[in-house]
Amino acid sequence: MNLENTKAQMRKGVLELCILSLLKGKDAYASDIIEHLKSAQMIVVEGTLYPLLTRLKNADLLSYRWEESKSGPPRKYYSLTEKGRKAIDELTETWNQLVEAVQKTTKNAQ
Amino acid sequence: MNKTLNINLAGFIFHIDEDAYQELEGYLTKIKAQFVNTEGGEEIIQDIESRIAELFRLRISEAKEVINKEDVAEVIGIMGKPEDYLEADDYEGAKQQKQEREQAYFQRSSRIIYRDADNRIIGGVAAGLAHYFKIDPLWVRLLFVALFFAGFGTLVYIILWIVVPKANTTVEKLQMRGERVNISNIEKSIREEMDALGGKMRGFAAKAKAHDYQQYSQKTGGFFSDLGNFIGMAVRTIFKVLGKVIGFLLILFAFVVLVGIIAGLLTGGFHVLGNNMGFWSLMDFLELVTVDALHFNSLAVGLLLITIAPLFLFIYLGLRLLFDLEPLNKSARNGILISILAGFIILIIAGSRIGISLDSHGSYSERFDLDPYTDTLHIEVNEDAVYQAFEAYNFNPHWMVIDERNIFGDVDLTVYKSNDSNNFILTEIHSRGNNRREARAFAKELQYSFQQTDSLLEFDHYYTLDTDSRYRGQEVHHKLYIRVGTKIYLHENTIDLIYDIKNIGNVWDHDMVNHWWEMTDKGLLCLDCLEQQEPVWPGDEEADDAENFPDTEQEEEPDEKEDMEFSTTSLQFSKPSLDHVAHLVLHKTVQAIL
Repeated sequence: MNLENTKAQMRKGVLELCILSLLKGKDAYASDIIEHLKSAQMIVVEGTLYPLLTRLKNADLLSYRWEESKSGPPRKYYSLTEKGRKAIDELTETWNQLVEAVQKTTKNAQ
Repeated sequence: MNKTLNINLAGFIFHIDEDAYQELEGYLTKIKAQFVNTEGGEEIIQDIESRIAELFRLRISEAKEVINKEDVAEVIGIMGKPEDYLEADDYEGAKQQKQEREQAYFQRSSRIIYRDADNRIIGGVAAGLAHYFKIDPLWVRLLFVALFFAGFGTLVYIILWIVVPKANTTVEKLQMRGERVNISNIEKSIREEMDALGGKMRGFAAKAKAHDYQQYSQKTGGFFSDLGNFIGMAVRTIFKVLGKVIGFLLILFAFVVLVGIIAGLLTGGFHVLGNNMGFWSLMDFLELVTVDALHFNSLAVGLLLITIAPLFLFIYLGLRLLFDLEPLNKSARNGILISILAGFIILIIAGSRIGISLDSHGSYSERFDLDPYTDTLHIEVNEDAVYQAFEAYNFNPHWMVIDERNIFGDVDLTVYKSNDSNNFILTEIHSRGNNRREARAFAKELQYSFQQTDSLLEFDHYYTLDTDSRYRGQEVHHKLYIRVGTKIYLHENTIDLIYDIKNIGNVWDHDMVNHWWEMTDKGLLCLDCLEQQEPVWPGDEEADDAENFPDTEQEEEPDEKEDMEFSTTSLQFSKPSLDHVAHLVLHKTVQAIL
């Protein structure tokens, strides 16, 4: 049993919800999303994010448009799709149930 | 002074130090290897490259135009190590990729053995083992063939076939192949990268590549990986060299055999019935022993398949080892295997048919009374052209084709005591055949000859078969019956004709020629070989003391006499016995029937 692996799995499960939620208010660049997640200690390195974003985009939960950048190559500007919004609701509900369930179980165990 | 290179990253040109480039190149290569099998991998890599370009742009200014090693290290720190990317990837994929990295670490320890049905010839066992040990399946197959001849290859194969699971899913196939996919992917991505960088750095490419491999292994495995890599490489090199040598030998072997066969066919390298035969006489012989045209054709085709197909296989395998050819496609391989197998089966069927055609025994005999003659009967072999031809080969061959006639040497002569009023020759011809009747028919088909000219009796030391007749192991036995008191002289050239002539003194056939013999009551007596006389009749009795030999002894041993039938052993020296007559009658009846 690899504890690090379990932790990574846990983070991974909620990472998608976090990314989607960050885009709820406003569209964002990948680097903006990274800043938020880094400060929340959800991810450590940027590389982790790109595969996730691509997957969410391929699942039609996200869409993006290109924006010119002064400091380098054009950037992808991500926004939520309708499907993405529904996914947030669904995932949030599941998250709440999960938190409740975990609290209940861990409390009972004590 | 540090060399700088120009690279294009996400559409931007960067000046980069050589060592920094190597670092970056290695990093990107590993990232690509990581994502190459992932859905949307290309896009992910593009995103990452864009981000790296962005981060580089932040690190250059008017004052600092070149990206150095520290910049690259910083950017990698921000982006994360290739392993870190895995966390975001789905769990199964991560597990699989981790496994692949472990495989790179311990060359083969975590490779899982499966049967490779994609590259199978029979059950994919050899191909699977080859993946497991990272060698060419050819070696495993050769080993199995060797084990097959050792006697337990088939069993081992079948057990492995049952025990080892087949690789069905992609994951299983990757596990089976282990590192292979990885390496090829790395190579592929390096090539792509080089294309992207343009043709400017061709010379540098090799170095970068070498460095990349080195770094990759260092990162994942340290010392053991280095050692593993080294051993792996050494083993592979040894196999490669060995492969070339064996490839060369295979070709040489096949070539020599092929040349040998062709030369043998043309000049007579085949040894059948003691005869050195060329191609056409080999065909003649096949025609002689087969039943009909179909049988002949199947035998010829079977022989052809079983000799030519493996030789081509050998030549091909040799070429493949030498020049790293593509493996033969499945249908070609199966074609060769099937033709060998078919040849084998055809030969077995045709062979057993020959066996059946030799199943029964049959014979018939003819009696020829000798004409009156004067004094001693001189027995000689007719030294005609055929005799000369056989003599040229020292009478080793049993079969020769002379003037389009099939000549066989299976003729012999024995001398017995005649209890008849005449001297006569009883010629018995034996043959084999499908059944007794057929065997007898084959016996009747052959032609033999002897002739009497006054006191000279000349035998042909051969018999002849017509070309449309068949050889079924026919034998001609001449039995010369002479009355008591008859003198014969065995000419020197009868040395190979005479066979097991019983005589007083038990003189060997080869010592009987060039001597004078007289039939006595006791048997054949040598008249001019004195030294032979003594040891035969030990005790106080003289060898030529035939009359004194008590008649009673014969009566004391009636059983033995019955067993003796026709043979004139030295013990049989009496009047014609009942069974003797019976035998003669039988012979005459047989003759009459035939």
